[in-house]
Amino acid sequence: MIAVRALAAWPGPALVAAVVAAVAAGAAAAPLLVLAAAVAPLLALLQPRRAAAPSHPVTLLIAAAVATLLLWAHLALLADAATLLGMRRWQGTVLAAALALLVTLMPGAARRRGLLLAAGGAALLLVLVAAGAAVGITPWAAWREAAGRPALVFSGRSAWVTDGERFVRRATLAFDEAHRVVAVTPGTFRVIEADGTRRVVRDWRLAAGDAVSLRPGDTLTAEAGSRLRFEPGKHVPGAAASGSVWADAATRASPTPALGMLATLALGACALVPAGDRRMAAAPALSLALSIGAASWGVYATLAAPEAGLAGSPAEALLSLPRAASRPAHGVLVALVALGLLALFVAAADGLRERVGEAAGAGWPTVWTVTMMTAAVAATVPVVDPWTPLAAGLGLAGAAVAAPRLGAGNDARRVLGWPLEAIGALLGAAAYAGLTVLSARMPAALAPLGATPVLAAAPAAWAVARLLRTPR
Amino acid sequence: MSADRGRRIAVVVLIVVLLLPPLASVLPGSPGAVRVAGVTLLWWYAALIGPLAAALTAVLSRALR
Repeated sequence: MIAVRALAAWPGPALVAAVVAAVAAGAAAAPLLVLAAAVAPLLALLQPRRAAAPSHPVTLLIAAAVATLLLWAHLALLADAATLLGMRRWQGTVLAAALALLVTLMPGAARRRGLLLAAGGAALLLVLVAAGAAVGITPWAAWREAAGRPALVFSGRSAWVTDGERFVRRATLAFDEAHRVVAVTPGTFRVIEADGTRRVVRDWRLAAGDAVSLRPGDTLTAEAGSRLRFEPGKHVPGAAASGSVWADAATRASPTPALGMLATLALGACALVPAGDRRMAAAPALSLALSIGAASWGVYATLAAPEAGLAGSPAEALLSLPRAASRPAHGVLVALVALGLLALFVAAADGLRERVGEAAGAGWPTVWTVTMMTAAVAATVPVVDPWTPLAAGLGLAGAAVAAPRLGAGNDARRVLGWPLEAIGALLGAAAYAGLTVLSARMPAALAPLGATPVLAAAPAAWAVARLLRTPR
Repeated sequence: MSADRGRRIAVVVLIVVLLLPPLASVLPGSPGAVRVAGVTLLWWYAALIGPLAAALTAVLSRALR
């Protein structure tokens, strides 16, 4: 198996977009996300090689659940991109899911997987280079410039100022200065006015062209699909106050959520990426390209469009970079981004199809088709952002696939007729689901376990498989 | 050195590469916030040094197999 093929299930459009959006927004977790996205697949390739796990209904159910969650995340991202490009959400989802099903169900899909990953990566790299050339500075100079901004404001060229942009999902914007916002399409907007210590809630029904004036301390809630226009030169609501705040947020990150994210990505990669062999020369290069490319993209994006997180989707940060280029090239670069994301999705889908196929055996086409269709239906709902199913899928994969596999090793023993790995998988999945459901009711001291259940579920699954494996 | 030992060492190195930023964040004086050529050390590490170290480790480990 060559490296490109082995790594195909890993990046996928949802992870690439999440990393870029975190960098562009100056999220506290951004550097760690960049690092983990690049290093985790290399860690997975270094796993010991082992015989295929015996098939069992539990492992099949978990493999299908993991694939559904990850496909949902990728399809939700593509649906977000379709919405931002003026299409309907379901059109983006159906098109991508149908294409992925067609490619992955055809004979010889695994051979095309590496080509699709390389093509998707090359398309995005081309856009990055073109945008970098248009900006005219290196990524590190762009970082310095971004960190030196006195405030993150709407530029006169921003699409949020000129034509108005669409909210992909419901968003509540907090204003810290007076701002006159114009509705581009009719809609109802909730404004909560800060009147001293009192809060006054008003629902404004605005026609196209109507404006609402907001004062410092007010919040405005826009429903998914509504379009608004903002004033140039005004601070972007919800964005970092200044370039230095954007730059320094990461250095104040709390270590516990950071460890949770690292465990989610590292164990998730170990579940999705198979152990490597000698022919893995391309893997380190791919991982390096992912870290440098995603970090550079995010930095250029925040410089070109500091409002790139306003629509409520990580796809906006990816699609905002082509705006740095001049008008005729802009359309070509946007098309390249869309095609690149689609290629990455089909490659990731085929990687997941292989994991489902290992668990399902001869009946994999039916299981795979149901998995894809379930994910496509889920992705048409705009309420859930792509990161939620992505983190859940990687976490579940870590707790119920990677951890019991590492605990069971090559022991093919059965306990009460069950393979060791299936017992660990059941416990890992149950612990993961239980902690997720109970997260809202947990005391503050246990809150990190609710936020990243893999921190408790994975050790539990590993320990059970390991204890049962030890000869008595 | 056996291939398996090389692989195990590489795994430990990659885990250390991943854990360095959270460990650095609890150190006094915020070493991650120190700027080198205008960019914080944390960002140099996350985007370039860490992935490069991980890539070199993976290459060396494979060469030993």
